[in-house]
Amino acid sequence: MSKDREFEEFAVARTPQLFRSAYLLCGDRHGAEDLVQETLAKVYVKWGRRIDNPAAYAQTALVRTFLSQRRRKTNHELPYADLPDVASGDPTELSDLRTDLHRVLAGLVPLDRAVLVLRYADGLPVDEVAERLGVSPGAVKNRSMRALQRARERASR
Amino acid sequence: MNDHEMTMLLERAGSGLSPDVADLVARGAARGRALRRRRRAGVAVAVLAVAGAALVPVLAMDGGRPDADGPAVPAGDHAIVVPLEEMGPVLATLLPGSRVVANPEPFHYEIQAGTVRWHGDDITMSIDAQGTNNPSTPEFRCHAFLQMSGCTELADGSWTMSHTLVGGRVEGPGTDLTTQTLEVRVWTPDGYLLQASDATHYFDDGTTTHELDAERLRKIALDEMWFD
Repeated sequence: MSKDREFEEFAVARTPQLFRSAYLLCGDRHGAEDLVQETLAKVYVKWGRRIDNPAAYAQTALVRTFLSQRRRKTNHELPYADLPDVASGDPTELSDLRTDLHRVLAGLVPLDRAVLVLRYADGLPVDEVAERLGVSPGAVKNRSMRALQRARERASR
Repeated sequence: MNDHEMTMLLERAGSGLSPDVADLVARGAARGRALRRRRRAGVAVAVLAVAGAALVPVLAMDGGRPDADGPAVPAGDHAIVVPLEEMGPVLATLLPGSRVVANPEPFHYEIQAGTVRWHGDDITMSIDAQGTNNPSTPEFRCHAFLQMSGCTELADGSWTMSHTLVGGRVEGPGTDLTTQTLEVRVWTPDGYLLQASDATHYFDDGTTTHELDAERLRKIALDEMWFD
């Protein structure tokens, strides 16, 4: 099987998960699409060389690309975008959900958002989150605790 | 909010999404191919630079002149890394949500272009390499373009201007559609002419709704994806 074909099979299988994480990080579909494309491009470049765990590599590349994009785009914090479109389910419930998520994640710095997504959406242990983000386990715990505290405050408003 | 509530919130918010997986994979791969070519070109330039440094003493000793009869290649020359067939797909990666319409047939072998449709507008990017052996300065070439005014210099020595064109075209059987095209041109110091344009519906009352303004078109034209 050609390398391009292998990459395509991997990408097709992993893109829904990557898109979900990207959507939670960016808060909008277009931002998520752009982030997934850039991530897949980076994986493509590395494809065929030694990558022990392609899925973990792609997920790490996604989060780091997100952080890098945010640093490039602005020196100050961007507000979390509205969450406009979820494809299925009860519209009222989804609308409430969008409001909840927006309220909870608005104002968090990108690294805190990344910590929350890796820990609570991807279910990774603290040590693995730390390794993927290039920070210490203590920093992950502190940021998780702080982000949850802020989320709690915002959710109660 | 505790750990469990956060997990539930993120799980629910991330469910029910229906990304266009095939499209995302195709665009990601196209962007990856462009990225790989750019990196390889960068490595090749570095190797040439080392080889060139080694050759200089030899040339100085025998009075030789590199490529005396060949075209002069100015320092800092760039090479296009996106082939004609990928102009559209690569352009699409710069405009999330767009779809490739066509890679228009070039009327000259040194011109390549791609078009995507984005929020109803046709966005086209073209690279014209005909001027790469032209000794004229980018300032001269900008001012010479239909003798139009409005040329300004960019930080890298390129010159740029923007203008609009109103013209009719036929889209689909028997459908007349008048369009207005906002076009940005950039003449680079190494001779390229980069054009990015946004064609949109031109209404009877003279109004238009371009999705991209001149500044965003200029950013597309100057995006690092096109060159090494």
